[in-house]
Amino acid sequence: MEKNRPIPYPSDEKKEKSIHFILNEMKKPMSRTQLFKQLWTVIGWRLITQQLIIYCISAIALIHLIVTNAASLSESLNSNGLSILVGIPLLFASFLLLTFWRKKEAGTYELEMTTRYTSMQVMAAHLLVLVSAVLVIQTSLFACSALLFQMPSFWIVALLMNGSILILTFGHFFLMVHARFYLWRVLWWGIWLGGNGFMMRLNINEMTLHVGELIVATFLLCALYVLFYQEVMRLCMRVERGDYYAYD
Amino acid sequence: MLTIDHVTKSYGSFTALEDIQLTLSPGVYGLLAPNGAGKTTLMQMIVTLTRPTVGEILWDGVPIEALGSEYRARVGYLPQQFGFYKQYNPEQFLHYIGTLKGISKAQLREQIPTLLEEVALFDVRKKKMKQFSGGMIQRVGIAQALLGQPDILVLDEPTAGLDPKERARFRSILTKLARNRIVLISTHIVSDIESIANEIIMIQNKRIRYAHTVPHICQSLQGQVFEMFVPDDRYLSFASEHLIVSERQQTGGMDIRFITTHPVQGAQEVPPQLEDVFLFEYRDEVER
Repeated sequence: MEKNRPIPYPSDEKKEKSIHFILNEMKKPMSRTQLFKQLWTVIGWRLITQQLIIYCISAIALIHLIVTNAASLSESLNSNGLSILVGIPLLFASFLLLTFWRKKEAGTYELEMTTRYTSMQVMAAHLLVLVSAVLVIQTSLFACSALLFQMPSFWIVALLMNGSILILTFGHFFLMVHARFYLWRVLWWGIWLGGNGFMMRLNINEMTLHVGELIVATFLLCALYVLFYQEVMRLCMRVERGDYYAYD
Repeated sequence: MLTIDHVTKSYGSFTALEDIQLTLSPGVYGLLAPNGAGKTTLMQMIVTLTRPTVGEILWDGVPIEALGSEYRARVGYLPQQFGFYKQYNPEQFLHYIGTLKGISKAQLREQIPTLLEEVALFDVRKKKMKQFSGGMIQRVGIAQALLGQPDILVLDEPTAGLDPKERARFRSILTKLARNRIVLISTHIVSDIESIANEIIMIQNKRIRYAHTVPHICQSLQGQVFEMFVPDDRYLSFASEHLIVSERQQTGGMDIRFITTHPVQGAQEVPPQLEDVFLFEYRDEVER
């Protein structure tokens, strides 16, 4: 039988050093919001040009969608609008993949994971801003359609939500793959696939929503967003604290 | 001061490094070992790309894990495979990396031209990097590592693929820039660091074999390095009996530098050099 090895206790000098560090040098840990604010203030706008194309195309597509479908939002989407709704998240996903591929090709990953702000943190900050913008547009669209026109049909809400959730899930999936947290990857894709399956089973194009249901839909999106924010920032905090290693 | 405190790194059942203990204060350190000896693993642990399995790395007595991003801000790193964006020019690339390092725009505007001057790339600062030679790319790599004036500079095989002229230029750049910081350079080319390193660290069998100055390391072979002329007809038998470290072709034979513990008639003892120690210590790896 293997002998029990003694527990390696730290030396007195080591203990003293640790106490000194905790009392005098260790900074107060930042909150997630503070870190996000710092990330965005220091690097956000300066590297935004890298993803400018994603923002531009998404904005153009959304404006086009609103203009062409605003009048008929209460009935059903025309095919053009439908393709845009499906297209935006896919476009978004493609550009994220393109960015990732570009980094892999260039071989800059290793270098960018040793800097003060790692590429993962930068990507997380940009993702959060993009997702926030999508959420704001989404909620505004719901509100405008409810106030200005008749209530939107269930099918349209379902499509819009589907698109948003895809953006959320893909964004998170992307980061988790980057971070190799496989469990989260499975979980997020599970949410998206489950949501889609549920909507396909319902298959009710003509069903009209009530205000309460619209509020529930918006609330659901916001809840997912909060979950997304928490998870993404948790990863950022780990990188910030030095508790994340790119090759482990 | 950077302390590597009894660090072991394992990947599953394979141990890459075992019980590494080093204390690095400002100066140039040459990490010398053949390929596959664990140089890159050690460097990756120092720059926080991978964590030690056992032991810890401390900066001024504080574990680097506790310092997190504050520690990363002190490190400049040139990876073995230095990646860059081909469409960028050096100025753009340094701006990009500088932003990731959290350096303000004003500071970058000040630092980038100076660094580009120092690595002799100022005149091509607007030229796309896809048009650069290997040496020029490596100089961009050194410049980016120096951005933000890091306290610790880690250069993994910085001279790989460079021609002799570029290697000489690199040595002169490094001598100039290595003041007041820890510079750790890994290489398997002895001449790259022999003249510039304050200390040489040699890894053998996953452990530190030497961590001393060049003269101190060379003393280990004192009285064992010789030179002599060997005629062509005796060369093969001579080579089978002694560890030859270098040879120069002459008329009718060769001038041979070799290591031996037994006196050889006609051989002249010479002062050992770092390359002799390297070839002696890693003779099994070199012969393989």
